[in-house]
Amino acid sequence: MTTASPPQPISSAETAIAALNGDDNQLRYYAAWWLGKNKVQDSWTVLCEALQDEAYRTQAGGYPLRRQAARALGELQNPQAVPALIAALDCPDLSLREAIIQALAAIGDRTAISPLLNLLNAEAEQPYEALIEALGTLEVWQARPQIDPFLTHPSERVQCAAARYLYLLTKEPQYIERIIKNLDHPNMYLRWAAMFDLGAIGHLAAAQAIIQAKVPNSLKLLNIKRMLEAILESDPDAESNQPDKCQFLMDTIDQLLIQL
Amino acid sequence: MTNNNGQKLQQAVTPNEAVEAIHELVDHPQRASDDVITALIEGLSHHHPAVPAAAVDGLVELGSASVNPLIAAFEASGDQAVQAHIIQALARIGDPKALSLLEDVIGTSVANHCQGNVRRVAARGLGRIGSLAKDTAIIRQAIDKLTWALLTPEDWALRYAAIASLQDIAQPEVMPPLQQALTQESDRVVQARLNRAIAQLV
Repeated sequence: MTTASPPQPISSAETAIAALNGDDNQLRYYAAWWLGKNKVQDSWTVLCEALQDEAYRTQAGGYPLRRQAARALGELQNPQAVPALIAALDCPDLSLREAIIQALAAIGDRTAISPLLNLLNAEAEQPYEALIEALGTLEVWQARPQIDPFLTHPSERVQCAAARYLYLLTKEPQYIERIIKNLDHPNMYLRWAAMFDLGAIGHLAAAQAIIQAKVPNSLKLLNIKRMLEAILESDPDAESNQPDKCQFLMDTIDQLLIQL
Repeated sequence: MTNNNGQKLQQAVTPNEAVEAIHELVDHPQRASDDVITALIEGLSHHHPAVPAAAVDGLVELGSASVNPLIAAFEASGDQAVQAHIIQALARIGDPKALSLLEDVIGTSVANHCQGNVRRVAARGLGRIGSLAKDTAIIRQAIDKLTWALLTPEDWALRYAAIASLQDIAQPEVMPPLQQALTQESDRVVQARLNRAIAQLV
Protein backbone atom coordinates (compact mmCIF):
# COMPACT_ATOMS: atom_id res chain seq x y z
CA MET A 1 0.00 0.00 0.00
CA THR A 2 1.33 3.44 -0.87
CA THR A 3 1.18 6.35 1.49
CA ALA A 4 1.22 9.03 -1.20
CA SER A 5 -2.51 9.57 -1.26
CA PRO A 6 -5.30 7.92 0.68
CA PRO A 7 -6.73 5.03 -1.31
CA GLN A 8 -10.46 5.32 -1.92
CA PRO A 9 -11.50 1.95 -3.29
CA ILE A 10 -14.83 2.20 -1.48
CA SER A 11 -17.50 2.53 -4.11
CA SER A 12 -20.35 0.33 -2.87
CA ALA A 13 -22.02 -0.81 0.32
CA GLU A 14 -20.26 -4.19 0.03
CA THR A 15 -16.77 -2.72 -0.32
CA ALA A 16 -17.44 -0.30 2.53
CA ILE A 17 -18.63 -3.03 4.90
CA ALA A 18 -15.64 -5.17 3.92
CA ALA A 19 -13.29 -2.24 4.58
CA LEU A 20 -14.90 -1.61 7.96
CA ASN A 21 -14.14 -5.22 8.90
CA GLY A 22 -10.59 -4.93 7.57
CA ASP A 23 -7.41 -3.97 9.41
CA ASP A 24 -6.48 -0.62 7.85
CA ASN A 25 -7.71 1.83 10.49
CA GLN A 26 -7.74 4.87 8.21
CA LEU A 27 -9.78 2.96 5.69
CA ARG A 28 -12.13 1.63 8.38
CA TYR A 29 -12.72 5.20 9.54
CA TYR A 30 -13.45 6.30 5.99
CA ALA A 31 -15.74 3.28 5.51
CA ALA A 32 -17.78 4.20 8.60
CA TRP A 33 -18.16 7.75 7.29
CA TRP A 34 -19.11 6.47 3.83
CA LEU A 35 -21.78 4.12 5.20
CA GLY A 36 -23.37 6.97 7.13
CA LYS A 37 -23.10 9.47 4.33
CA ASN A 38 -24.75 7.08 1.90
CA LYS A 39 -27.26 5.90 4.51
CA VAL A 40 -26.56 2.21 3.93
CA GLN A 41 -29.28 0.80 6.18
CA ASP A 42 -27.94 -2.76 6.11
CA SER A 43 -24.73 -1.60 7.76
CA TRP A 44 -26.26 -0.83 11.14
CA THR A 45 -25.12 -4.14 12.67
CA VAL A 46 -21.46 -3.75 11.62
CA LEU A 47 -21.51 -0.13 12.75
CA CYS A 48 -22.86 -1.26 16.15
CA GLU A 49 -19.98 -3.75 16.38
CA ALA A 50 -17.56 -0.90 15.60
CA LEU A 51 -18.88 0.89 18.70
CA GLN A 52 -16.89 -1.66 20.72
CA ASP A 53 -13.76 -1.53 18.53
CA GLU A 54 -10.44 -1.77 20.41
CA ALA A 55 -8.05 -1.76 17.45
CA TYR A 56 -8.09 1.96 16.67
CA ARG A 57 -7.05 4.14 19.63
CA THR A 58 -5.27 7.45 19.78
CA GLN A 59 -2.36 8.06 22.12
CA ALA A 60 -4.65 10.13 24.32
CA GLY A 61 -6.97 7.14 24.66
CA GLY A 62 -9.68 8.26 22.21
CA TYR A 63 -11.59 5.92 19.93
CA PRO A 64 -11.85 7.56 16.48
CA LEU A 65 -13.58 4.62 14.81
CA ARG A 66 -16.18 4.32 17.56
CA ARG A 67 -16.96 8.02 17.22
CA GLN A 68 -17.35 7.78 13.47
CA ALA A 69 -19.54 4.69 13.81
CA ALA A 70 -21.79 6.58 16.24
CA ARG A 71 -22.11 9.50 13.81
CA ALA A 72 -22.92 7.10 10.97
CA LEU A 73 -25.63 5.46 13.09
CA GLY A 74 -27.05 8.93 13.66
CA GLU A 75 -27.24 9.32 9.89
CA LEU A 76 -28.99 5.97 9.49
CA GLN A 77 -31.55 6.85 12.18
CA ASN A 78 -32.30 3.19 12.73
CA PRO A 79 -33.92 2.67 16.18
CA GLN A 80 -32.53 -0.88 16.29
CA ALA A 81 -29.10 0.65 16.94
CA VAL A 82 -30.27 2.41 20.11
CA PRO A 83 -29.39 -0.35 22.65
CA ALA A 84 -25.84 -0.62 21.26
CA LEU A 85 -25.43 3.17 21.36
CA ILE A 86 -26.65 3.32 24.94
CA ALA A 87 -24.27 0.51 25.93
CA ALA A 88 -21.36 2.43 24.40
CA LEU A 89 -22.09 5.49 26.58
CA ASP A 90 -20.05 3.89 29.36
CA CYS A 91 -16.82 4.64 27.51
CA PRO A 92 -14.69 7.37 29.15
CA ASP A 93 -13.96 8.98 25.72
CA LEU A 94 -15.99 12.23 25.98
CA SER A 95 -15.92 12.87 22.24
CA LEU A 96 -17.41 9.43 21.70
CA ARG A 97 -20.08 10.15 24.28
CA GLU A 98 -20.88 13.41 22.48
CA ALA A 99 -21.22 11.63 19.13
CA ILE A 100 -23.47 8.99 20.71
CA ILE A 101 -25.70 11.60 22.33
CA GLN A 102 -26.08 13.40 19.01
CA ALA A 103 -26.90 10.11 17.28
CA LEU A 104 -29.51 9.26 19.92
CA ALA A 105 -31.09 12.69 19.45
CA ALA A 106 -31.15 12.21 15.67
CA ILE A 107 -32.76 8.79 16.00
CA GLY A 108 -35.34 10.18 18.41
CA ASP A 109 -36.10 6.92 20.20
CA ARG A 110 -37.51 7.54 23.65
CA THR A 111 -35.67 4.65 25.29
CA ALA A 112 -32.63 6.94 25.19
CA ILE A 113 -34.21 9.37 27.63
CA SER A 114 -33.42 7.61 30.88
CA PRO A 115 -29.71 7.01 30.09
CA LEU A 116 -29.40 10.66 29.01
CA LEU A 117 -30.96 11.81 32.28
CA ASN A 118 -28.49 9.59 34.14
CA LEU A 119 -25.65 11.44 32.40
CA LEU A 120 -27.17 14.79 33.32
CA ASN A 121 -27.38 13.74 36.97
CA ALA A 122 -23.93 12.17 37.07
CA GLU A 123 -21.12 13.75 39.06
CA ALA A 124 -18.54 13.52 36.29
CA GLU A 125 -18.07 16.07 33.49
CA GLN A 126 -20.24 15.42 30.42
CA PRO A 127 -20.49 16.83 26.89
CA TYR A 128 -23.18 19.19 28.17
CA GLU A 129 -23.86 21.12 24.98
CA ALA A 130 -24.81 17.96 23.09
CA LEU A 131 -26.59 16.50 26.10
CA ILE A 132 -28.82 19.53 26.69
CA GLU A 133 -29.52 19.85 22.97
CA ALA A 134 -30.56 16.21 22.86
CA LEU A 135 -32.86 16.63 25.85
CA GLY A 136 -34.47 19.60 24.08
CA THR A 137 -34.83 17.71 20.81
CA LEU A 138 -36.38 14.74 22.62
CA GLU A 139 -38.63 17.14 24.59
CA VAL A 140 -37.57 15.79 27.97
CA TRP A 141 -39.18 18.62 29.86
CA GLN A 142 -38.86 17.06 33.31
CA ALA A 143 -35.15 17.89 33.17
CA ARG A 144 -35.82 21.61 33.47
CA PRO A 145 -34.72 21.97 37.14
CA GLN A 146 -31.33 20.46 36.30
CA ILE A 147 -30.95 22.51 33.10
CA ASP A 148 -31.81 25.96 34.50
CA PRO A 149 -28.40 26.34 36.22
CA PHE A 150 -26.58 25.79 32.89
CA LEU A 151 -27.66 29.31 31.85
CA THR A 152 -24.67 30.49 33.89
CA HIS A 153 -22.29 27.71 32.86
CA PRO A 154 -18.74 28.97 32.07
CA SER A 155 -19.07 27.79 28.45
CA GLU A 156 -21.19 30.14 26.35
CA ARG A 157 -22.07 27.30 24.02
CA VAL A 158 -23.51 25.36 26.93
CA GLN A 159 -25.41 28.49 27.99
CA CYS A 160 -26.89 28.72 24.49
CA ALA A 161 -27.87 25.06 24.53
CA ALA A 162 -29.68 25.64 27.83
CA ALA A 163 -31.39 28.74 26.39
CA ARG A 164 -32.50 26.73 23.37
CA TYR A 165 -33.95 24.00 25.60
CA LEU A 166 -35.77 26.55 27.75
CA TYR A 167 -37.09 28.41 24.71
CA LEU A 168 -38.43 25.22 23.15
CA LEU A 169 -40.17 24.46 26.44
CA THR A 170 -41.51 27.90 27.42
CA LYS A 171 -41.53 29.95 24.17
CA GLU A 172 -40.43 32.90 26.33
CA PRO A 173 -38.53 35.55 24.30
CA GLN A 174 -35.90 36.05 27.02
CA TYR A 175 -34.34 32.72 26.07
CA ILE A 176 -34.22 33.42 22.35
CA GLU A 177 -32.67 36.78 23.17
CA ARG A 178 -29.94 34.97 25.04
CA ILE A 179 -29.02 33.12 21.83
CA ILE A 180 -29.39 36.21 19.66
CA LYS A 181 -26.83 37.95 21.87
CA ASN A 182 -24.23 35.45 20.73
CA LEU A 183 -24.84 36.32 17.10
CA ASP A 184 -22.71 39.41 17.76
CA HIS A 185 -20.07 37.53 19.69
CA PRO A 186 -16.48 38.32 18.63
CA ASN A 187 -15.72 34.60 18.46
CA MET A 188 -16.75 33.38 15.03
CA TYR A 189 -17.37 29.82 16.20
CA LEU A 190 -19.76 31.01 18.89
CA ARG A 191 -21.64 33.04 16.29
CA TRP A 192 -21.96 29.95 14.14
CA ALA A 193 -23.03 27.80 17.06
CA ALA A 194 -25.69 30.39 17.92
CA MET A 195 -26.88 30.33 14.30
CA PHE A 196 -27.40 26.62 14.43
CA ASP A 197 -29.27 26.90 17.71
CA LEU A 198 -31.61 29.42 16.13
CA GLY A 199 -31.96 27.44 12.91
CA ALA A 200 -33.16 24.51 14.97
CA ILE A 201 -35.73 26.58 16.81
CA GLY A 202 -37.78 27.67 13.81
CA HIS A 203 -39.27 30.96 14.91
CA LEU A 204 -39.63 34.18 12.96
CA ALA A 205 -37.83 36.22 15.61
CA ALA A 206 -34.95 33.81 15.16
CA ALA A 207 -35.14 34.28 11.39
CA GLN A 208 -34.82 38.05 11.78
CA ALA A 209 -31.82 37.55 14.05
CA ILE A 210 -30.15 35.31 11.49
CA ILE A 211 -30.73 37.81 8.68
CA GLN A 212 -29.05 40.57 10.71
CA ALA A 213 -26.18 38.41 11.97
CA LYS A 214 -22.55 39.08 11.10
CA VAL A 215 -21.93 35.65 9.62
CA PRO A 216 -21.29 34.44 6.08
CA ASN A 217 -24.22 34.50 3.73
CA SER A 218 -23.98 30.76 3.10
CA LEU A 219 -24.67 30.08 6.79
CA LYS A 220 -27.66 32.39 6.81
CA LEU A 221 -29.00 30.57 3.76
CA LEU A 222 -28.52 27.17 5.36
CA ASN A 223 -30.23 28.16 8.57
CA ILE A 224 -33.19 29.94 7.01
CA LYS A 225 -33.66 26.83 4.89
CA ARG A 226 -33.53 24.63 8.01
CA MET A 227 -36.28 26.72 9.53
CA LEU A 228 -38.51 26.43 6.50
CA GLU A 229 -37.84 22.68 6.40
CA ALA A 230 -38.79 22.38 10.06
CA ILE A 231 -42.08 24.18 9.40
CA LEU A 232 -42.85 22.10 6.31
CA GLU A 233 -42.03 18.86 8.11
CA SER A 234 -44.13 19.59 11.15
CA ASP A 235 -47.09 20.72 9.04
CA PRO A 236 -47.42 19.19 5.55
CA ASP A 237 -50.01 21.85 4.67
CA ALA A 238 -47.90 24.71 6.02
CA GLU A 239 -47.98 26.48 2.65
CA SER A 240 -51.74 27.02 3.00
CA ASN A 241 -51.97 27.00 6.82
CA GLN A 242 -49.05 29.37 7.50
CA PRO A 243 -48.67 31.26 4.21
CA ASP A 244 -47.14 34.41 5.74
CA LYS A 245 -44.41 32.54 7.55
CA CYS A 246 -43.54 30.44 4.49
CA GLN A 247 -43.59 33.44 2.21
CA PHE A 248 -41.38 35.46 4.52
CA LEU A 249 -38.78 32.70 4.66
CA MET A 250 -38.89 32.14 0.89
CA ASP A 251 -38.56 35.87 0.20
CA THR A 252 -35.56 35.86 2.50
CA ILE A 253 -33.95 32.98 0.61
CA ASP A 254 -34.70 34.72 -2.71
CA GLN A 255 -32.81 37.78 -1.45
CA LEU A 256 -29.90 35.83 0.03
CA LEU A 257 -29.34 34.06 -3.27
CA ILE A 258 -28.42 37.26 -5.08
CA GLN A 259 -25.78 38.07 -2.47
CA LEU A 260 -22.38 36.44 -2.15
CA MET B 1 -15.20 67.38 -3.78
CA THR B 2 -14.51 68.61 -7.26
CA ASN B 3 -12.26 66.90 -9.70
CA ASN B 4 -12.79 63.50 -8.10
CA ASN B 5 -12.71 61.00 -10.89
CA GLY B 6 -11.37 58.19 -8.81
CA GLN B 7 -8.18 59.69 -7.44
CA LYS B 8 -9.74 60.11 -4.04
CA LEU B 9 -10.65 56.45 -3.96
CA GLN B 10 -7.18 55.45 -5.07
CA GLN B 11 -5.63 57.63 -2.37
CA ALA B 12 -7.99 56.48 0.41
CA VAL B 13 -6.13 55.11 3.40
CA THR B 14 -8.87 53.70 5.61
CA PRO B 15 -11.85 51.60 4.52
CA ASN B 16 -14.14 54.42 5.66
CA GLU B 17 -12.39 56.91 3.40
CA ALA B 18 -12.63 54.46 0.52
CA VAL B 19 -16.37 53.89 1.04
CA GLU B 20 -16.92 57.64 1.33
CA ALA B 21 -15.01 58.25 -1.89
CA ILE B 22 -17.15 55.65 -3.64
CA HIS B 23 -20.33 57.34 -2.45
CA GLU B 24 -19.10 60.67 -3.80
CA LEU B 25 -18.30 59.13 -7.17
CA VAL B 26 -21.70 57.56 -7.50
CA ASP B 27 -23.71 60.50 -6.21
CA HIS B 28 -22.87 62.32 -9.45
CA PRO B 29 -23.83 59.91 -12.20
CA GLN B 30 -22.95 62.41 -14.93
CA ARG B 31 -19.38 61.57 -14.02
CA ALA B 32 -19.83 57.97 -15.14
CA SER B 33 -16.61 58.29 -17.01
CA ASP B 34 -14.22 55.47 -17.72
CA ASP B 35 -12.03 56.77 -14.89
CA VAL B 36 -14.81 56.43 -12.35
CA ILE B 37 -15.68 52.92 -13.49
CA THR B 38 -12.02 51.91 -13.45
CA ALA B 39 -11.64 53.23 -9.90
CA LEU B 40 -14.75 51.38 -8.74
CA ILE B 41 -13.55 48.15 -10.31
CA GLU B 42 -10.22 48.59 -8.53
CA GLY B 43 -12.20 49.00 -5.31
CA LEU B 44 -13.49 45.44 -5.77
CA SER B 45 -10.12 44.06 -4.70
CA HIS B 46 -9.87 46.12 -1.50
CA HIS B 47 -9.04 43.96 1.52
CA HIS B 48 -11.79 45.39 3.75
CA PRO B 49 -15.15 43.78 2.85
CA ALA B 50 -17.09 47.06 3.17
CA VAL B 51 -15.20 48.56 0.21
CA PRO B 52 -15.97 45.92 -2.46
CA ALA B 53 -19.59 45.90 -1.26
CA ALA B 54 -19.83 49.68 -1.73
CA ALA B 55 -18.05 49.45 -5.08
CA VAL B 56 -20.57 46.83 -6.28
CA ASP B 57 -23.42 49.14 -5.23
CA GLY B 58 -21.73 51.98 -7.10
CA LEU B 59 -21.25 49.97 -10.28
CA VAL B 60 -24.89 48.83 -10.14
CA GLU B 61 -25.92 52.46 -9.74
CA LEU B 62 -24.03 53.41 -12.88
CA GLY B 63 -25.84 50.62 -14.71
CA SER B 64 -25.19 49.68 -18.33
CA ALA B 65 -22.08 51.86 -18.63
CA SER B 66 -20.33 49.48 -16.19
CA VAL B 67 -21.12 46.31 -18.07
CA ASN B 68 -18.40 46.10 -20.71
CA PRO B 69 -15.62 47.19 -18.33
CA LEU B 70 -16.86 44.63 -15.77
CA ILE B 71 -16.82 41.84 -18.34
CA ALA B 72 -13.30 42.83 -19.39
CA ALA B 73 -12.21 42.93 -15.75
CA PHE B 74 -13.65 39.46 -15.17
CA GLU B 75 -11.59 38.07 -18.05
CA ALA B 76 -8.46 39.85 -16.83
CA SER B 77 -8.73 38.98 -13.15
CA GLY B 78 -7.49 35.73 -11.70
CA ASP B 79 -8.82 36.55 -8.25
CA GLN B 80 -11.93 34.54 -7.39
CA ALA B 81 -13.17 37.05 -4.82
CA VAL B 82 -12.97 39.90 -7.34
CA GLN B 83 -14.66 37.78 -9.98
CA ALA B 84 -17.43 36.97 -7.53
CA HIS B 85 -18.08 40.67 -6.93
CA ILE B 86 -18.09 41.31 -10.67
CA ILE B 87 -20.72 38.61 -11.20
CA GLN B 88 -22.82 40.06 -8.41
CA ALA B 89 -22.68 43.53 -10.00
CA LEU B 90 -23.55 42.15 -13.44
CA ALA B 91 -26.39 40.05 -12.01
CA ARG B 92 -27.92 43.08 -10.33
CA ILE B 93 -27.54 45.32 -13.38
CA GLY B 94 -29.31 42.77 -15.60
CA ASP B 95 -27.89 44.00 -18.92
CA PRO B 96 -28.16 41.43 -21.75
CA LYS B 97 -24.50 42.02 -22.71
CA ALA B 98 -23.61 39.96 -19.62
CA LEU B 99 -25.83 37.05 -20.63
CA SER B 100 -23.17 34.75 -22.04
CA LEU B 101 -20.73 35.39 -19.17
CA LEU B 102 -23.41 34.58 -16.60
CA GLU B 103 -24.34 31.45 -18.53
CA ASP B 104 -20.71 30.45 -18.51
CA VAL B 105 -20.43 30.99 -14.76
CA ILE B 106 -23.47 28.82 -14.07
CA GLY B 107 -21.53 26.19 -15.98
CA THR B 108 -22.51 22.79 -17.19
CA SER B 109 -22.15 19.57 -15.21
CA VAL B 110 -19.90 21.26 -12.68
CA ALA B 111 -19.11 24.93 -12.27
CA ASN B 112 -16.53 25.96 -14.83
CA HIS B 113 -14.52 28.12 -12.52
CA CYS B 114 -16.76 29.57 -9.85
CA GLN B 115 -17.97 28.50 -6.45
CA GLY B 116 -21.54 27.50 -5.73
CA ASN B 117 -22.60 30.83 -4.30
CA VAL B 118 -21.40 32.66 -7.43
CA ARG B 119 -23.30 30.27 -9.70
CA ARG B 120 -26.48 31.04 -7.76
CA VAL B 121 -25.94 34.78 -8.05
CA ALA B 122 -25.42 34.32 -11.80
CA ALA B 123 -28.67 32.37 -12.01
CA ARG B 124 -30.49 35.20 -10.26
CA GLY B 125 -28.85 37.56 -12.78
CA LEU B 126 -30.33 35.62 -15.70
CA GLY B 127 -33.74 36.21 -14.11
CA ARG B 128 -33.10 39.93 -14.05
CA ILE B 129 -31.84 39.98 -17.64
CA GLY B 130 -34.79 37.90 -18.81
CA SER B 131 -37.31 40.07 -17.03
CA LEU B 132 -35.86 43.37 -18.33
CA ALA B 133 -35.13 42.31 -21.92
CA LYS B 134 -37.45 43.08 -24.84
CA ASP B 135 -35.60 40.85 -27.30
CA THR B 136 -37.30 37.45 -27.38
CA ALA B 137 -34.07 35.68 -28.38
CA ILE B 138 -32.40 36.95 -25.20
CA ILE B 139 -35.37 35.93 -23.06
CA ARG B 140 -35.41 32.51 -24.67
CA GLN B 141 -31.68 32.04 -24.04
CA ALA B 142 -32.05 32.98 -20.36
CA ILE B 143 -35.01 30.62 -19.94
CA ASP B 144 -33.09 27.77 -21.57
CA LYS B 145 -30.13 28.09 -19.22
CA LEU B 146 -32.38 28.48 -16.17
CA THR B 147 -34.34 25.40 -17.24
CA TRP B 148 -31.11 23.46 -17.24
CA ALA B 149 -30.17 24.91 -13.83
CA LEU B 150 -33.59 23.93 -12.51
CA LEU B 151 -33.55 20.33 -13.69
CA THR B 152 -29.95 19.16 -13.48
CA PRO B 153 -27.61 20.36 -10.71
CA GLU B 154 -27.20 18.76 -7.30
CA ASP B 155 -27.03 22.11 -5.50
CA TRP B 156 -30.51 22.79 -4.08
CA ALA B 157 -29.79 26.51 -3.93
CA LEU B 158 -28.94 26.69 -7.63
CA ARG B 159 -32.23 24.96 -8.48
CA TYR B 160 -34.00 27.32 -6.09
CA ALA B 161 -32.34 30.37 -7.65
CA ALA B 162 -33.45 29.16 -11.09
CA ILE B 163 -37.07 28.97 -9.89
CA ALA B 164 -37.02 32.50 -8.47
CA SER B 165 -35.52 33.74 -11.74
CA LEU B 166 -38.01 31.92 -13.96
CA GLN B 167 -40.79 33.43 -11.86
CA ASP B 168 -39.25 36.89 -12.41
CA ILE B 169 -39.22 36.34 -16.18
CA ALA B 170 -42.91 35.35 -16.03
CA GLN B 171 -43.31 34.33 -19.68
CA PRO B 172 -45.61 31.46 -20.71
CA GLU B 173 -42.52 29.43 -21.66
CA VAL B 174 -41.39 29.15 -18.04
CA MET B 175 -44.37 27.03 -16.99
CA PRO B 176 -43.45 23.70 -18.63
CA PRO B 177 -40.01 23.50 -16.99
CA LEU B 178 -41.47 24.46 -13.61
CA GLN B 179 -44.15 21.78 -13.95
CA GLN B 180 -41.57 19.23 -15.01
CA ALA B 181 -39.36 20.10 -12.05
CA LEU B 182 -42.27 19.49 -9.70
CA THR B 183 -42.39 15.85 -10.82
CA GLN B 184 -38.72 15.22 -10.00
CA GLU B 185 -37.82 17.60 -7.15
CA SER B 186 -36.97 15.83 -3.90
CA ASP B 187 -36.01 18.78 -1.68
CA ARG B 188 -38.98 19.91 0.40
CA VAL B 189 -38.03 23.58 0.38
CA VAL B 190 -37.39 23.67 -3.36
CA GLN B 191 -40.74 21.94 -3.88
CA ALA B 192 -42.45 24.61 -1.81
CA ARG B 193 -40.77 27.33 -3.87
CA LEU B 194 -41.91 25.62 -7.08
CA ASN B 195 -45.49 25.51 -5.81
CA ARG B 196 -45.34 29.17 -5.01
CA ALA B 197 -43.87 30.16 -8.37
CA ILE B 198 -46.48 28.14 -10.25
CA ALA B 199 -49.29 29.59 -8.14
CA GLN B 200 -48.06 33.12 -8.91
CA LEU B 201 -47.82 32.49 -12.64
CA VAL B 202 -51.12 30.74 -13.42
